[in-house]
Amino acid sequence: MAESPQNQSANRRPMLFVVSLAALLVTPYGLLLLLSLGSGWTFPNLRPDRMDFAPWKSILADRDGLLRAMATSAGISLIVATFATVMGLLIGRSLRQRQSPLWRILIYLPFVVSPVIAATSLYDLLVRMRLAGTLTGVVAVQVLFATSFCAVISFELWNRRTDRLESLVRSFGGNSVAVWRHVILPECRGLIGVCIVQSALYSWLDYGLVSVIGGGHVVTLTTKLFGYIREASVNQAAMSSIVLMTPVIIGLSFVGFGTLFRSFRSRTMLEEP
Amino acid sequence: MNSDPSHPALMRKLASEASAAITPSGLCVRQISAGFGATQILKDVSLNVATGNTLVVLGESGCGKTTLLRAIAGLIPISSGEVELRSRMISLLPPYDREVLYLDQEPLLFEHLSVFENIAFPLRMKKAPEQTIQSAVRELLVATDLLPHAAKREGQLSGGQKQRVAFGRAILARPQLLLLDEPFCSLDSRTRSHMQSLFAELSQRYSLTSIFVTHDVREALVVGHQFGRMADGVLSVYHDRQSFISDDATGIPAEIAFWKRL
Repeated sequence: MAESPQNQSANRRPMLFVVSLAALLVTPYGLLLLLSLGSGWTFPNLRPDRMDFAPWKSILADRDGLLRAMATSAGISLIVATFATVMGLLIGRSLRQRQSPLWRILIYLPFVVSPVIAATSLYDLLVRMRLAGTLTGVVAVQVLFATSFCAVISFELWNRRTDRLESLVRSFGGNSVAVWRHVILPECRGLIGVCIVQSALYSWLDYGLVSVIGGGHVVTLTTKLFGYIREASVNQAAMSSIVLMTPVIIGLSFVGFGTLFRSFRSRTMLEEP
Repeated sequence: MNSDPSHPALMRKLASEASAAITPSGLCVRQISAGFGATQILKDVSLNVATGNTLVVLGESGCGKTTLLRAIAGLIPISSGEVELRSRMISLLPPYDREVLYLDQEPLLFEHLSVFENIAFPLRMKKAPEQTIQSAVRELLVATDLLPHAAKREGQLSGGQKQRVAFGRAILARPQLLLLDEPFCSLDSRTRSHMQSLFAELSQRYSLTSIFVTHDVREALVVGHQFGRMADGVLSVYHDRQSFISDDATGIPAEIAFWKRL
């Protein structure tokens, strides 16, 4: 039987959506790439007058300290993601066990407090602790905020199934290590992945806390980017934007592909005899 | 037996008479009460189960059967009374120290482990030698007809297969008391019948002490050694199988009359 025009239109809609979304995501990157490669882009030309890899070569040569800023950002992100995920899991689990409505409200507090205002309030304390203007100070404050976001996710990931599984492991004689190994990590691995990606990206993209706590002594990719924008260095601003955005795309793809893979696997498992 | 379940004095008398006839080393529940907030669901429930026996508790939905099992397992607190298992007072112990396993309608498996590893789990926790694990699990896989499915994961199993895995794992854990809360109610009639026979057989082979909650009289007769009926949070325990069958409140006489009329 031939498909009705209405059905054909409905079938085309998802494809149209995917193409539009892809265009929306790719276009800014295309523009940034052109800006980073080209120079002498005069109006009304549609492409830069000259295009070469010289600006990218200067990054690899680290003449401007961009490579070092990248390494600093990556290092801070890794540390923040690791600490925040582990501490968020422990806090979320402990709050879940307490079942206190007050704590439940309190863990949402970081969502209503601006990190920069909180950092400004903490600045005096950090100066006294000799942490202001240091990498450790930046990491400590970022961990504080990222942990609270992870704690919220972790608090919500415990459910009746995880409680029952935990009780089951313990009734078989399992200790806390067995509970983490056989219940928490396998049951919550998806959300643990989200916590890691989220806190790493939060740290990677952070500008406010780095500039307030770091006070210009801690140079990350975001502080470099804002410096280039202030100086109107179009090439370098475009390059650092690309470098800054790449992990975001990789992180989101990781979460997206993970979700797709899990849904595909559960469908395949159900279909198998 | 008087079929009026609402007479507490009669219920207590029946319970104590039944307990007197049973070996004291199994489960002994003395006048436990439990509930949620101001609502009292279990009212002075007493029962005894001899070692190696299955007490079947029959009752309509909402009468307190699940609450009774969860109270014995320590999953909800009791407001009064005590629970003794093999001469050990367990009322105040946390659930995982009671050596009691609670199985309900929804089998709970570890989704990251295969059927084999799910069944082997209690032995791995006890750090049993690998050879013992292999032979014990294999024996249970054969007994539960799960050998062809040993490598599968939870998502690849049917409801009946999952229930058999949970049951096999519970047997290997060798709990001192197994609590089964309508474990086969979501299965089709054929699988259910198979599971009932399997339970009866394995229960006997491994000498399991258990309480089996159901509202299916046929299932009760297949799996039970002792019988009780719960109504409004009060448990009446029958002297023997015959008094259970002849009690109008169980619905068995009416069922027999129905089949005879056909």
